[in-house]
Parts: sequence; structure tokens; C-alpha cells
Amino acid sequence: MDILINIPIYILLFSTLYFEVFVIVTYFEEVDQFTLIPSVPRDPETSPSVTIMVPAWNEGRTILGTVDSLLALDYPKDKLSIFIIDDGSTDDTLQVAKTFEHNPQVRIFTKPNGGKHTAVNLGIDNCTSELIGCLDADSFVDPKALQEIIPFFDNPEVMAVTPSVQIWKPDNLLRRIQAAEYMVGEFTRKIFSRLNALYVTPGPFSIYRNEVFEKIGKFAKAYNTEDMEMALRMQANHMKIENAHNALVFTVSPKTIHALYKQRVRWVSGFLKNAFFNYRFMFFKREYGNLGALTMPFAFSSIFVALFFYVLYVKNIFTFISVKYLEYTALGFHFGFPHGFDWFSVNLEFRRLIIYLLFFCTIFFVLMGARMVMRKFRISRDMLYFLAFYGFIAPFWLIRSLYNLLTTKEAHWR
Amino acid sequence: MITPPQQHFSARKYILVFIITLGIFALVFLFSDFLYRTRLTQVKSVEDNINQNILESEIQYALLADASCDTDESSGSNVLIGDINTLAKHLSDMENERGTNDAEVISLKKYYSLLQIKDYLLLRERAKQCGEKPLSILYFYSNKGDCADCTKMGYVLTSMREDYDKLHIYAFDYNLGLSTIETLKSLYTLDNQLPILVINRKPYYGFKTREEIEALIPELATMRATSTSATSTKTLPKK
Repeated sequence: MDILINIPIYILLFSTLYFEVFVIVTYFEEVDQFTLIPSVPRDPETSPSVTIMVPAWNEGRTILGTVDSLLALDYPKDKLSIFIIDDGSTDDTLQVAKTFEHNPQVRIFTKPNGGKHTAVNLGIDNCTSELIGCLDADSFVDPKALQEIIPFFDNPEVMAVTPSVQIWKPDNLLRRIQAAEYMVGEFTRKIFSRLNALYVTPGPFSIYRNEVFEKIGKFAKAYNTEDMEMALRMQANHMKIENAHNALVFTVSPKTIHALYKQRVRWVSGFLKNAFFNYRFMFFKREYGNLGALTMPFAFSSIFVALFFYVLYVKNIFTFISVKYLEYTALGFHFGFPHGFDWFSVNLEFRRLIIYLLFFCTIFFVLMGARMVMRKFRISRDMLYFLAFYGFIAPFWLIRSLYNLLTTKEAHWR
Repeated sequence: MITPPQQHFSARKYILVFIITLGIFALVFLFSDFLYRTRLTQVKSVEDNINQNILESEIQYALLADASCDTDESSGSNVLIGDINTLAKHLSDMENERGTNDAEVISLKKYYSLLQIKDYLLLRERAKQCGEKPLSILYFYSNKGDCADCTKMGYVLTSMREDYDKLHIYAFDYNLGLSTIETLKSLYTLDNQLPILVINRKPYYGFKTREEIEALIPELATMRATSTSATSTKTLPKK
């Protein structure tokens, strides 16, 4: 019986460690690509034309800041167009958008509500620039973001470039946890890009060559995760996706646990369904490179790994509480004197040591992410919150997403 | 300078990472084994120390006979009780870590049980020689999942061990399969209703609170009073 339980645990621990070692080896192979030196400003003449689409549905509160940040981009004005696409909003989104109607860089579209992908596709239909980007109406760009992204398109093979998406002004515990999570996300995204194995081109400010849509078609609904599906479709067609880690984009993150839960269920369900129903042919196929061999299978299995660690976490907490309860029922409130540190009481069994090692790897990823975003190695409060709480909240949306996959239930935007 | 990403699947890298991961796994395994061996050595050293202490006490009693009653019982015995308590805690930690079926842990527990019985006999011998009443509790438990109250009983006895330094508590795994434990069971005609406490040669079945145990050993009340009085004196302000 022990063997039946232990063998899957050892396989799980080995595969998780394998993945983390792969990431670390790749980092040291590609360390010079993680430079924090900003790119040299380009000659305006050689700058490609760019259109940024801002699809918006009931984003009246944030769209002004979003468009203002785009207008403040350090990029030749005659090469940068902004399309605001109102997707049938029922609030004042269109009225706010119209405050920009006299700006020669801005065009405003409105259409009946049909979902984000339809709004973006309307923009693509009206776009003639060399590069097309998208910025969610709850996100803001750093003035240098586009300047950081453009040099990646000097390589004719690169078909899309993703930025470094970070949390806009994290002001509560939940947002702080997400802030550290996004930093780790940027580190892994950069690693995946070096492996040519990105499977998401995030809604905030991913830039595509116009020809991508001519060759493989426009955005699809794709279980409300059109950015994920587009990246997978590009990878299936052997199109390269890069990551510009110095291009900072900030997004307003969910403030409440309910909003976060809904967002993550949509993301994880979308990934699982896209990967399982539409792109599972890429799994373990050499022709899809590291994406098929490593990142997609691991992203899929990581849900089960996370749930395993969650069970372990809950079991430890439960054991601790039951021990304290038993102590209380046996002795009442009895406070013995602590006898100092005794190394015998620390569990140093093999599996525990591997888990400690994996935890140190996670700390390394957090620190590397912090270095890329904050430009220095720094231990912040956000990281501590992330390490302490993320493992406790994430399983809720993972379990729900698995349920959605099994029941083919759809996750909604809001 | 921006360089193109790694183009293709590199089987060489996958194999290299596999070897590194395997190496880390092996190193961690060896390290874990090394730590375990170190702990075993430490436990064995504590056991040897206890054995030597018991032997010394036995010889001392044999040499001095009644005269040894003049020596303070607590001086040498406290070291022994301290060692036995440490050993009990280490064995409990190792049992939690390695499981109750680990052969080495079982072997150490058997030796620990023998040492406890030797100490118990020594205590009784001294009590007989010196006309004292031995302050001891024999505690029989099981960790096979058939004794719901054993954990609670353990907490109570551990707290009493900490508070009464002259109280000798001997814990025996009822299912250890040691012939001397079987002898104790038949000597006190014990039934399989765990936990069992043997106080003044009389068995008590089921969970007992600290107050109930203290009522069964009235001598503990004076020990507590002495301890409280000593503490109070210590806290008096100096003139």
C-alpha cells in the first residue's frame, strides 16, 4: 500500500524538480538575455508603424488612463495609431472615449456587444500598420514600453512580442500577493520565450506582426481566453513569440477574492480547454520543440502538482491544529517552557528535503522576477505574502477549473 | 544584444537536465541518509550513557549498601531521568519521521525499554534498601491506531515529567513484542485496554487527567509545595 502511495509522490517530486532544474539551467545558459539595460532609442525613420487597439466593455472608469498612457508612449506620433473599440458598453465608456475623437492618432469604433475577440477583430479589419497590438482598457503602459518591444521585430522570424505585465499600485493583501506572482510570472515568461515555448500572448500590450492574422486568421472566442489560443495557434504554425522583459505594462488586478477567483477560473479553464480540446496534438511532439515537450505538459500537470502540495499543506495545518486541540483537551491551557531548538524535531526525511529544495527554487524564481521588475534584488512584503498565502488560495480556482474541464462548463468574464 | 531564442528541441539538454536532477535526487537521498545515521549514532550514544549510569548506580548500591541512602537520590538520578526523557523524545521524533515499522527505530525502542526496566528495578531496589516509596508510573501505550487516548495520555505524562523531577515515568509500547514487556504485562495481569498506568503496582485503565494521577500519588503534592515554595523564595526581593 505504501508503495502505491509513494511511487506517484516520488514521480511528482522528480518531475517538478526536473522542470525547475530545466528553468535554472536555461537561465544560466541565457543569462546575458536578462539584461536590465534599456534599449537604445531608434531613428524615427526606421520605426515600424504600429496600431494599438483598446477593446472596452464597461471600462468607463479606467479607459481614460489607458489611452492617456498610450498617447504618452515614447514613439513617433505619425507611426502610432490608437483604436478604441467600444464593445456595446452600457456605462459611459463611449462618452469617455469620445473625449479623444479630435486627436489625429485616435480612431473610435463602436459595435454591439459580441465579446473581446470580436472587438479586436474589428480593429484588425481596419488596420493597415505593420504591427498590431492590443491593450486591455484596465491597463497602462510605461512610456518606454514600445521602444523596448520594437527591436525584437528586427528578427524577421519573430511574429509577436509580449511585455512584462505587472500589477498597478498593489494596495491590499490580495493585490500584493498578485504583484509577487506577476514578478515570478515575468521570470518564467522570459525563460519560456528563450525556449521558444510561450503559450500566452497576454491581453495587455502583446504586439503582433499584421501578417500573423493574414496567415492564421484572427482571434477566436476560445473559451474567453483568446490571447492564450492565439499564442497556441501561432506555436502550432511555428511562429516565434518573444518576451521584452524591459517593456513594462501595468494592469489593474482584482481587488476582492471573488473577482480574483472568477478571473483565474477563466484563465485556467481556458488554458485547460484550449490545450486539451484543441491543441493536445502538440503534447510530447518534438516538432513543437520545448513547448510540446516541456512547457505545455508541465503547465497541464502543474495543476495536479499544486493540488498535491495543497493537500500536504492542509494536512500539516490540520495535524498542527489537532495536536494543539488534543493538548488542550489533555491539559487545558498549559504553557510549558520552550526547551530551545532541537534538531531532532525537524523532519529531515528524504521527501521533506526535496520539498524544502523546491521551496528554495521558488524563492529563487521570486527573487529573479523581482530583479527584472524592480531592477534590484530585494525581499519585499509582497513576496512574503505570496510565499505564505498563494499556495493556500490558488487550489480553489484550480479545483473549479478542473471541474469546468470535466463538465465542459464555461467560465465567464465577470 | 538580442539573440534569437533556442530554436529546436535539444534532446541533449533534456538528458543533461535529467542527469542533473537524478544527481540532485541522489545527493539529497545520501544527505538524508547521512542525517539519519547521525541521529541514530546520537541516540545510541544517549542509550550507552544511560546504560553506563545505571551500571554505576548498581555498583554504588552494591558497594555501599545502606550507606548509599544518605546520598541525595536526585543528584545522580536526575541526570538519568533527563537522559531517558531526551531519549524518549528523540525516539518519538524518529518514529514520526520514519514510521512505526522502521526496523532501526524498533530496535532502538526495544533497547530503550530494557534500559527503562533496568532503571525501574534500580529505583525499586533503592526504595527497598532505604525504606522509601518509589515515585514511579509505568505507562503502556500503543501507536497502532487502536488507542485513541494514548496521545492525550502522553501529553499529560510529558507535562508531569517536566514538573516533577523525582517522578520516574516509564513508557512501554504494548505491542513491541519484547519478552520483558510481556513479563511486566503478566506480572501486573494487564488487559488490553489502553492506555494503562501502573501506579504502586496497581493498574489503571483508560485516560487519566493530571489531577487524577496526582490524587493517586499523594507524595506529588508535597513535591509541588516544595517546588512552589522554592520558587517563591527565589522571587523575593533582596533587602
